[in-house]
Amino acid sequence: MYTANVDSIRHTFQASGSLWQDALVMQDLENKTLWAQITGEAIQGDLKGKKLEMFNSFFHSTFAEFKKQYPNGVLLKKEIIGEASSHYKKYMDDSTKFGIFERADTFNKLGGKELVFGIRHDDKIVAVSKDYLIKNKSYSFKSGELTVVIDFDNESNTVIAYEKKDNKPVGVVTSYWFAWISFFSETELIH
Amino acid sequence: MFAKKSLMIFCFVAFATASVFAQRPEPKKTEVLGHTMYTLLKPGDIPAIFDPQFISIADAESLYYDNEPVIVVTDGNKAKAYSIWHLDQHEIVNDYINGKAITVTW
Repeated sequence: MYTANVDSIRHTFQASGSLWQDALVMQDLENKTLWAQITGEAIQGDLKGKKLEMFNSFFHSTFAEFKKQYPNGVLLKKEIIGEASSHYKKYMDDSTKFGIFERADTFNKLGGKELVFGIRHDDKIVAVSKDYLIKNKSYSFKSGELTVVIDFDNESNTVIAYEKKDNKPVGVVTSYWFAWISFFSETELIH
Repeated sequence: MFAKKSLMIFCFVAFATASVFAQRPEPKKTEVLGHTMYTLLKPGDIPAIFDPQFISIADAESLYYDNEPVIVVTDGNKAKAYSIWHLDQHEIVNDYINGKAITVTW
C-alpha cells in the first residue's frame, strides 16, 4: 500500500505482466517505469531508484468485522456477483507450491507456505508467523526509540500494527514466508 | 455460509498472477538488479482499477460474504474496504482517501 505521488505528481499504476522475485511488478502509466510491489522501489525505467512512500493506515479484516467497526464505511463495488472464494484458492491450499515457477523448498526456519505478518519500520524488519499470533495474540518489538505492537484477533481475522506511544498505524503485510524472505533476507522471524 | 477462513487468504504477493501465468508459454526472462524478471503478459492484461466505485454497507450485503477478506484503508473518519477476492482479478486499485492519492495493491 503506497501513496501514489512521485515527486509530488500523482501516478497511476497497473500490473506490468511481469514477476520479479515471485512478486508482482507494477508499471506506472506516466513513465512506464517498473516498480516492485513489495518494496515500492522503481527497479527499471526513467524513475529507477525512486521509492513510493508507504501508506500505513491499512489492515486486513473481513466484511463482517468492517461492518461492526465502520458502519458508515464504504466498500469497493464489484462487477462480479457471487464471488465466493479466491481465484487462487487451489494454489493457496497447496503447501508444496512456492510461486508460479515452483521453486524448491529451502526455507529452513518456517515452511515456505506458512503465513507471516511482515513489518518494515525504519531499519527494522520483522515477520511474525500467523501461528505465533494465534497462540499469543500480540507481539511487540523495539524499533529505535519506539515500540511497535502487532495484534491479531483470531475471531475477526483482523491484524493491526501500531506504534505504542501514540497508536500511530504501522503497515503490516500478510505474505507467504517464502515470498517475504526472498525480499527481506535480514528479517527477524518470530514463530 | 462459509466457515471462517484465516486472514491469509491474503498472501498478497507471490502468486497473485499465478493461475494466469501458469497457462502461458515459456516466459521472457531478463535480469533486473541481480534477479530474473519473468514476463508473460502485456502491461494491463490484468486490468487495474482506475475509477473505483464504492457502495454502502447496506448495498454491499448482497455482494459480500461475511467471511470475505478485505483490505481496510482508513484516514481520519473515512474508511474504505476492498475485497481481496475481487482484487485477485485486478491486483491494483488507483484511488484516493481524504484527497490523498493511494495505490491499493494485492
